[in-house]
Amino acid sequence: MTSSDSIDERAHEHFAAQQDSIYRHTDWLFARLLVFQWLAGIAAAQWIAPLAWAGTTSEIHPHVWAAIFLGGVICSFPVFLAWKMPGRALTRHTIAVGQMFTSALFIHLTGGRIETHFHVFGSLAFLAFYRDWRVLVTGSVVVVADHLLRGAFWPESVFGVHAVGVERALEHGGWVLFEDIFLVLSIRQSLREMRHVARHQAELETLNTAIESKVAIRTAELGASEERFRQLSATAPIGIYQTDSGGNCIYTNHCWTELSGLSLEQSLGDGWKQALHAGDRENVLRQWQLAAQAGQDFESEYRVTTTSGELRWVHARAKAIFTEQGQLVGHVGTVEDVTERKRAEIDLAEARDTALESTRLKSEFLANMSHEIRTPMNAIIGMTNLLLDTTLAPEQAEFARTVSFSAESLLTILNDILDFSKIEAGKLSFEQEDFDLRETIEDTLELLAENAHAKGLELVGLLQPGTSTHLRGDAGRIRQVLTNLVSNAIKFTETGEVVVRVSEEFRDASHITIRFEVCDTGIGIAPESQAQLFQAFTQADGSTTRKYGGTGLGLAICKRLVEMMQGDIGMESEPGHGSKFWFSIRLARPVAPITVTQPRFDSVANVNVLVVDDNATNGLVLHYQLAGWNMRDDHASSAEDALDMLRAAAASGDPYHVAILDMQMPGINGLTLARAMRSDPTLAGTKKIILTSLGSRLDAHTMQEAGISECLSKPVREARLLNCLTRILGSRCLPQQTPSVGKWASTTPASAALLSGPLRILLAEDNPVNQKVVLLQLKKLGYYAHTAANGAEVLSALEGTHYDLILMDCQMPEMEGYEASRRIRERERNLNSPQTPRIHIVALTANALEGDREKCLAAGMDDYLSKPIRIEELAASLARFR
Amino acid sequence: MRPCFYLCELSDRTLIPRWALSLARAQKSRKSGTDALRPAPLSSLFHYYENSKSLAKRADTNRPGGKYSRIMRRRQGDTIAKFSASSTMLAIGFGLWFSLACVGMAILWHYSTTPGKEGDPPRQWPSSSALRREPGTSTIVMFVHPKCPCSRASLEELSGLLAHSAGRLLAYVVFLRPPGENDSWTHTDLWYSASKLPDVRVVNDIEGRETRLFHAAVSGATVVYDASGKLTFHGGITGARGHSGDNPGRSAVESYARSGTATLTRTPVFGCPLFDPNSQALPPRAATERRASECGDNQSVSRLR
Repeated sequence: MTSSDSIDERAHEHFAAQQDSIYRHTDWLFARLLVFQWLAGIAAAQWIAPLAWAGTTSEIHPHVWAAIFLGGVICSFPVFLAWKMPGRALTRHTIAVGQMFTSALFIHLTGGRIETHFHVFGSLAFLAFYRDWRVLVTGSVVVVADHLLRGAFWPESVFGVHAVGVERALEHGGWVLFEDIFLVLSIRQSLREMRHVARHQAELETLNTAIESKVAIRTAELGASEERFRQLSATAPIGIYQTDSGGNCIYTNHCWTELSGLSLEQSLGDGWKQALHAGDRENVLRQWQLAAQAGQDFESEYRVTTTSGELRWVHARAKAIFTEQGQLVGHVGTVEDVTERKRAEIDLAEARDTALESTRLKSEFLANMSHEIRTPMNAIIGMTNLLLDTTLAPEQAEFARTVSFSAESLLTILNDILDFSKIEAGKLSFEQEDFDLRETIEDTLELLAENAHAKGLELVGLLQPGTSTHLRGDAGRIRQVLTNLVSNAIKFTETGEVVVRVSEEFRDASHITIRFEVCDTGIGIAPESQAQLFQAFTQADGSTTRKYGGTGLGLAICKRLVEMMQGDIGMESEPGHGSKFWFSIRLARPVAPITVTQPRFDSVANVNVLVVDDNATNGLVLHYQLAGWNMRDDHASSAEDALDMLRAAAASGDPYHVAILDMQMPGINGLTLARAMRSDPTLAGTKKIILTSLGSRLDAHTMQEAGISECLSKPVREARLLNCLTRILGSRCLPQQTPSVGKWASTTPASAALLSGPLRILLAEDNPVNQKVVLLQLKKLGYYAHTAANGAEVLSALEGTHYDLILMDCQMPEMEGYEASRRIRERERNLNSPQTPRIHIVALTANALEGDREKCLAAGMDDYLSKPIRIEELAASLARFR
Repeated sequence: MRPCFYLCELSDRTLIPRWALSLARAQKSRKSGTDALRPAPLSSLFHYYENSKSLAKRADTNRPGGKYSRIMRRRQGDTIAKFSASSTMLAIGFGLWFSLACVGMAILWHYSTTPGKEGDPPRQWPSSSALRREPGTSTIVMFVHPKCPCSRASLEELSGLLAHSAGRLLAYVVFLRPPGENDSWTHTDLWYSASKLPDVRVVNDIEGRETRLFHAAVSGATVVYDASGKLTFHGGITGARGHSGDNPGRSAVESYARSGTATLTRTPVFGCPLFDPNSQALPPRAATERRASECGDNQSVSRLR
């Protein structure tokens, strides 16, 4: 059955039901009307003709009897049918007949009054209430029959005349029919509207059915959803609750009742508050009240006391719920029992405190260990170095060198361990200061040059032209990484060279990425060992440790440091052919503008220079430096070639003004070449600069005898070379201002003596051995110093004498170096005299841990030297304050 | 339409002509489902029933609890009950009721159309009558029982009659006052109605002397004498008891008033008897006339109003 058929069927059903209802209703209407008419007829008869008279006697008028009995008969059967069988066709047709009989009776009782005839038309109109044209037909038939009969036998009773024809009866019937037509049309219209309504009702019903079906489905889904929610809520391992906009609880689940011990009824409203622990109650209620009033989310951890008295920690969260109009509906939230977690947190906190205490103790231990080890190490290294500077038998010198080497190794191990410990503890911090990259490299190479030259290696630093040298970062850490890599290269290289190449890899508006490469010609590393190189306590193989020593921490520390500077580190190696370690770090551009006064190159421009060096890399470095000063340079890889080139140039009339000779060359060395040049008159005008390894400086007599103007140690600092060139060419061309960045200004021990002059130095050191070491080192550097055993003696010494510089040991009895420094600075502030120059204080401390340097500077010290004090570092520090 | 249609309808039978059913079905098949609810005018008299029947069958099958199904089942039950005792009783009851109503109506008709005792008025205006004639004018006299309800129609007819006679008739309405009764017995609503009629002289006939003199027996009896005192009409001027309207008596008097010639000289009188049926109140006309002549006119007239 289609939907349309279904609607039709239902429309018919509704129509039939409505029709039946009308029939029944009208039946009862007519039943009451008939009874009323009957009574009205009796009353009318009684009023019009109550008695019939005969002379003076009277009797009930027959009309009264007729009204009673005939009227009763007329209405009896229709009323009976309406009572017993309402709605049936027989009933309404009988009613129609009875109603017409009533009209006839009324007409008769009223003496045929024409007005009473209106009852006929009124009755027909009433019968139209049935909305059944057949009933009108029945009524009309009765009327017409009545008229025909009366017209035939008693015309004046109907028509008012005593003689009428059939046409008069037909006329009367026609008027009835006239009314019937309108009534039938009205009935048809009414039925049509009823069908229309029925169809609408059926359609509405169908729609309702569809809606109800959907509602039923939705209700079922909602029920399933609600059941699902109920199950979820009931079985959820956390308490779930809901509150109204006033913050009163309107729902909790089973878990909450289990957690708190309160029943559901007890928890509703504000009953849940009684579970709050007394200590947390006020705070929790205040938070909750704020959240409820402001419509904010709520989250808190607090304690609840169960009904059994048990204390439990809960973590409560609630989210505010709003209507689409933004009106607060309430909160929905959870209560999670976090007692176990809380206990774990407490245990964890205790463990953390214990660990922190352990760490603190460990740091303290490290500090103490560092101090305690460095103090004797200072003496060992210092004394050994001083011992080596004395005249010793070869065997004794060998013993002393072994001691020195072992002490250095031990110090390296100690530094590595301390660094690694600091990295692991996360206590390593990085400074962000402007520095000069060139100086950093040159400082590093200079420190390591002695080791390299001791092994006969060329140590070359090559800064690619165009590379930015003014940068911002932690130069100390860069130096540390570079030192480690170069040290390793020197260590694992027996012959050849170690080249440090520095280039600019990438730059943007704020940062510059610098790549450092350390290439050696050493033993190389097997591919299978390369992957483990940067892991802590790992070396290429076990034999390496045995042969070369070391802890295996160096590269791991480098890797950590580079990574912490947002860089990367790696290596390439071929066993037997050397290795290349590289790292690149991202450095910021300097904050402060660099105010560097460019040195005047005019005096050296176009000067013809011959570089004689068997090492091509070294020659390349010198080429870059000389070309940068607009000098003309040529390179000769051997003394023979050099002599040829010198003579050829002299013969051509464009002799070399300067010859830079490498001391160590195969065959004819630099000194022999210089002597050869001196013996050749054509080459007499050529100035000679000889490059020697650190520590093998030529004495003045030898230099004079060979005609050598200057002797420079390799690696040669750029500024020093320029200074040297300008000096021997007859014009000083020193930069008017050294680069402002970089605290570690270039001063070598060798040159320190040249720069030294009257400098009043006070050494504050409580340890007699160390006091002796430093004094000897100062003496070697050309300085002399007074001594003090503690801070108090320092202050006393300052009362009588002015010192330019104080070497202050930090840990001393009676008064520490820190306190003494603070007193000195305070004293200077109190004096506030421009005539009294500021005293420079250099800290000497065995503490190499993080923060020691800052602590020293905070106390008013100017520089910081970590024990064991190396003579180079001491010289550099002294040079900075000249 | 055939009469049997109604008979069948009375027992709820759907007697639809075959041709009408065929036409309706054909139309339904041409129309959609919704059009089935709007049958064509030609078949509208039958289609509803046919449709209802078929739908009722389907409804009974598909929706046994539906209201329409109950209705149609009842209708079907009625059809089946045609052969049952209850239906027979209904038919008998309807027939009996109808017959009783018809019989009652017939009895009522009979009562209303049954005339009273015919009077025998004197052929010449009785000289003993207290009622005065006017010379050259015909006189009409109506005798009325003051309490007879039927006579209201007679007075209405008299009123109309006089209105149409245009003063050519001298009218008397004589109200009977039986012996032993006072005036209040006479002064009923009929008295006052008559008194309001223009050109009508109302007479309180004490002890019914005039009534007897003119030998009137039934209320509403009317006599008409011409200018010479000769009786030209006697009888009633209503068609039935208490029934106003055109009737032969009134027509006859109106005809006489207009043309001097009555179409009828006597008509039946419909009204209450003026005297007790068992009394000998109304003497023979000869004796009355004799007694009147002996007593003289003045003695016979009690009072005029």
